[in-house]
Amino acid sequence: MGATHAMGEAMKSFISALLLVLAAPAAMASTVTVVISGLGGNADYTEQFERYATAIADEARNIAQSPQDVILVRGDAAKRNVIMGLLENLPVSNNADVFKLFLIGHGSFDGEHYKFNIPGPDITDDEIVTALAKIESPKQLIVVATSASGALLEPLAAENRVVITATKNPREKNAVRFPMYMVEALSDTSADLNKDESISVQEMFDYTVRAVNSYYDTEKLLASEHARIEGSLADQIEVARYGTLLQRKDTISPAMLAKRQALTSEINSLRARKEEVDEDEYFDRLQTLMLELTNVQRSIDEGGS
Amino acid sequence: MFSAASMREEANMFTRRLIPYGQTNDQTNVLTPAAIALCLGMSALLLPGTVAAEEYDPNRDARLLQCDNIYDRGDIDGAIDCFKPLSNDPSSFIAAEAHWALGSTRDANQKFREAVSEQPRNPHIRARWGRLFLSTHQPSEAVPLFEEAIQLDPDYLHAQTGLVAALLSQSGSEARMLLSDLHQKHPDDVELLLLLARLELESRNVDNADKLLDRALISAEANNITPLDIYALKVSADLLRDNEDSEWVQKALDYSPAYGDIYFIPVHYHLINYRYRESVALLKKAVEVQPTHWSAHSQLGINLLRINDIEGAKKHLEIAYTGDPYDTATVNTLRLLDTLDDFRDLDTEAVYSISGGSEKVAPVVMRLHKDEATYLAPYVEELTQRAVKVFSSRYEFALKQPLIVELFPNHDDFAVRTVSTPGVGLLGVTFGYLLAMDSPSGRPPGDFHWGSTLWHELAHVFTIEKSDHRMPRWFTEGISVYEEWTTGPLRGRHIPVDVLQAIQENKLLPVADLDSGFVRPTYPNQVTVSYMQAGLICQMISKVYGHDKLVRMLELFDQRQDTGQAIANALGISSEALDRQLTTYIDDELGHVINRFSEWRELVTSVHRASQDSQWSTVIALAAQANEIYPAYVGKGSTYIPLHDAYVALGKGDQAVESLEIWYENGGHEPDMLHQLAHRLRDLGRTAKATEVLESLNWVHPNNIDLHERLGNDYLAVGNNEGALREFKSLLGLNPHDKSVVYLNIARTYQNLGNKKLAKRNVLQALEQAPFFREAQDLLVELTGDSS
Repeated sequence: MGATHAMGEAMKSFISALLLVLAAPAAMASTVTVVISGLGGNADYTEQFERYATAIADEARNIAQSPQDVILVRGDAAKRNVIMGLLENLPVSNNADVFKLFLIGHGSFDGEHYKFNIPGPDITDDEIVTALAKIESPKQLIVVATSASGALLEPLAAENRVVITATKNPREKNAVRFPMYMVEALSDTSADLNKDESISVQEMFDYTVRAVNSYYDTEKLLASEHARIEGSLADQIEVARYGTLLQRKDTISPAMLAKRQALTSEINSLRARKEEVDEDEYFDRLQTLMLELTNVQRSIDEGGS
Repeated sequence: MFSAASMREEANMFTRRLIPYGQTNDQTNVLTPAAIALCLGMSALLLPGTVAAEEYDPNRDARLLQCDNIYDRGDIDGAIDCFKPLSNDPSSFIAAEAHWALGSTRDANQKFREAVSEQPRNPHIRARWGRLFLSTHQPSEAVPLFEEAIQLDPDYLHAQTGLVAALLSQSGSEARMLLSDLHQKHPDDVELLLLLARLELESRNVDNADKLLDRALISAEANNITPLDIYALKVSADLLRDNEDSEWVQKALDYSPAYGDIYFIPVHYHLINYRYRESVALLKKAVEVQPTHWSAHSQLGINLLRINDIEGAKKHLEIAYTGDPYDTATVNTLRLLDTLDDFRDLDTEAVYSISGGSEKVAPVVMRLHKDEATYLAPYVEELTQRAVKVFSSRYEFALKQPLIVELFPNHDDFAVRTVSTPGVGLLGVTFGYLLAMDSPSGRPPGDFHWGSTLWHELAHVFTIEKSDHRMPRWFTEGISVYEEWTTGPLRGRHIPVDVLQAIQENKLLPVADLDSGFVRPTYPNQVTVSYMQAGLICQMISKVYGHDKLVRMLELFDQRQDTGQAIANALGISSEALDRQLTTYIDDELGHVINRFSEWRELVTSVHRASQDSQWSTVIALAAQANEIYPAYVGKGSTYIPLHDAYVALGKGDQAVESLEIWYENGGHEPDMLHQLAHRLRDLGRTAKATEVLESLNWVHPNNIDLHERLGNDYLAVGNNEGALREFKSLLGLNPHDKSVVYLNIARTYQNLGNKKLAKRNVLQALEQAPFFREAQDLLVELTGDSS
């Protein structure tokens, strides 16, 4: 690849550092997050995209085991050789348990190909799809928060992957509001519908879509973006955390968390069978589980083990 | 010169005659989407003024006349055998007439087009082609053809009469003048006599109609014209006299045993007087004597729907569709029936008592679209229950059947429900015990005060049923308007500006003729003017003579008295004296506005102009002058809004709130301004007033998540648990982002009400949505006493 050949020494060092990150032991249940801010085209957009990308990366670091698990490419670093180097080298390592990629910026569509706009030659849909095809993480999230991003919805779809695009198709070419509200979702606890102090991809997406729709309604504008989500793992991938889970993430007893998780699974299982169970019996069973969960949660909140 | 004809490349005809029951014609009876769209785009208003086509054709070909006579004597198979060969006649004109008689209206249209092309200077062919359009309910297509025929022959009566009939179906005054002129020139013309008789019957001038019909009978006999239509109008006159055993029915059936029109034509006079059950009875007889009367089947289906017999309606509409798949009313109503699958019937009850007697219960069915039933039902239920209680007592009438309240989120569905065609400007309609109206979501926010519309329609239920559907139109509308102003959910007496102008221009009708302002308006806003005049009359009667006199008048109408008699017997004065009293009343009530109307309008215009230019001091000064003349005006263009804006711009918050409060107290109900007022009142610490303003929004724009959330929390905070419960339940129906919070609030409300079981059930539903919701967890522990 021409871009790879053009890399300087500094870039080689950057990629080497990246390989160390991606080579972390799988047993650590690692999450790797890559956030790339593209070409703004003017000072306002450039500032906006960098701000959004930074906010996403900050939230990702709150979840990450190590700050090194989060890679932010923005500003002067967002050049073709850097980004391509990054994308092409992602699969070289052992894969993380969870892999997340956020592309923030402008996208375009020439009638045949989607392009993520960066200084110099843009990055094409084929390049993105080819690079990400090598990722083997069991849970993947790809967010393309750009105009025309709907073009990538289908090509990027995979069984172990959630794909979010800011538009429903490549013909929605106007600059999108989606990333602004997505960033808001990561820091607004009202996005956390199940109130577990953790915002899932699905919660982030639902909040963002509502906010985007509300923006167009309030401004009495015809909506020029319609975000889409594909994939079945959206409830299982975390994108932000707050409250006790964040403040005491290193001290909460794994046993308590496991208990909490077991009860949550049991509740979800009961909810899934709601239509098959007698109503009174359902709520009696739910009450028992909820009281157990309440006790566990109170122990966690109070720092017990 | 012949542009109208040349542009008529693809006319659409939708009627059929002479086809035996069970058969279809050459056109498919499977309606394609394109055909449906075409049908929906057609005007399908009923044409009470039209008459059967062939009988009055002065130049009828002898061969066609021979077939007509067979048909007129009731031998339908014989008539078909007679007309069929003529449909292949080398003369395009004869073929067109034969196709028309056989019900192949599209073929007839094509043949007429060819005939006009062959004989472009023949006015008769154009007039007959116009009659074809007229008979298929397309007067706007018919008019230019009649006009072209008249251009070719200015004295051609058949075209002139056709033009009058077409215009009568579209507007009033011009057609009436034309009809009067023609009748003076041709006093014995049967068709003109029938048109005049119809107008008299619509105005309930039955004696006048009878005289015209007697004259028509003599003329028909002298000219060997089939008298069946005259008989049908004679039956109509008898029905309006409450003679339901008219001798003219048997005469008609003796003449032509399968003449369904003898029952079908009089139905029109029942329908314009809201007598749907009686219409159904007549229509059943019509299809009994003439099973191929597709229009009767269609109308029977439509009117069965109006009395809530959905299955019966479906049956007859499907029969009508089989025989005539191009009748727009049939197609539209069948489509409506399909959409009813998306509606939910919610049963409730309304408690009432009469004259201080024991409490009774009236069953109520709310028929609401599934997408809005949850959030809307609490308000429909509350207002309906309140109305039944108020009106039962005020009009001393106990509902005898379940009350059906239908709200349509799609205005065109409501329009089809009402008049079988989309595109009408109505808001609500009452068929007796069934009322239908636009849902608040059916129009843009604030476009109408749906609570007032529901109140208006519910008042109709009582006036219509108490008088056994016998009250005149002006009276039932007048009572409904009066009740809107007196007991309805919106403060104030709201009279549109153009009505004030009409009053200033002395456009009000004598009360004895006020119905014509509804049925046959002669100027653009006359229907609205008539509504307001009727409301003012009822308000005046109530104030001057007492509300009980209105109740007495309803009883007198039930006893078959007309307007003049009811006024004389209830009030002891003549209708002319009532007219004079009304003039004085209006002068007392509105004279201060009407006498300075032009000045007030100029001031209002100047206020808005100054507001646009941000001349705030001018706005304040001029608005004060305008509001001094007409302080209660809060309708479109009210000066209170720019006055509020001016005070806001000048930083005078208190005065801004004051101006909006006056606007609100007088019935201002624009949703954005109400939200603003509530917000400002809350900022001033006037929470109770803010809550009251928010509550008023429920009756104008309830489709708002923030409204119910705020109002529910307000009610919960002040211990209004019933109010809180209504708001939170409604909120759930609007699918809020976070339902867990709503369930928790419902649980807390039930806890306040002492209903532990429902409190627990709702807190579990909150946790079902959000298992880690700490406040819900705490409440669950509190409710179960489990703090282990």
